[in-house]
Amino acid sequence: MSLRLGSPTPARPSLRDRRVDGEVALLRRWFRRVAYDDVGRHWVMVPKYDLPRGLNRRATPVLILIPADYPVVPPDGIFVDVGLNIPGHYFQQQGPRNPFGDQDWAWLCAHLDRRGWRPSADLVGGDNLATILELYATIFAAMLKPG
Amino acid sequence: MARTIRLNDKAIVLAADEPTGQDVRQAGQVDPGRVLIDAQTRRIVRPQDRIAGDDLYDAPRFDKGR
Repeated sequence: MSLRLGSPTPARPSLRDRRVDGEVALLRRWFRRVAYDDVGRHWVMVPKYDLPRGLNRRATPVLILIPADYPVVPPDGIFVDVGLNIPGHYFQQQGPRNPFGDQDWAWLCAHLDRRGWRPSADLVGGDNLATILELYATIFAAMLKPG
Repeated sequence: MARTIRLNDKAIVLAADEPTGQDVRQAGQVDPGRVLIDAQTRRIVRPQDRIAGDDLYDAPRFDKGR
């Protein structure tokens, strides 16, 4: 019997870690560039997300914070560029709702209904980060309407 | 005359001549917590809306903040 000394064995990825890794791989089928926190899996960032018509820019970077209980709990809102022509539910100033305001991120406040959130074990068979970004095309359009 | 549409990439046959979002919801057993979206326009299809596109998907309902 031998003992292996040296650097400690890296922690085995958790179920959540593997889920986020898999979802990033899925996102990379749709987006040329995807960055993410491959240590804590706290965030995923798409540098160029095409915006629907009606907005004053063609694209924005998108930052998604991954909840600790993901995928049981969906992300709450997304962070996008400041300076978009969104009339409400869009927080550009740094504060409790937007901790990254000092880094030119604005928080787009849209909450997904947890009763309707349906992730599945096979990633692509249910809701995931890719379907969220697909849904945001609809949400952006809804955000342009007052109310 | 029946009309066939696709919901989440599955074919659904609708009996109504001018089907609505509600017809799709019933035929596809769409969860009340989810909205129907026209895949081409990305617009929400409400229960009372007539179905324009033939390709729909569902997604979680959302609200624009509290």
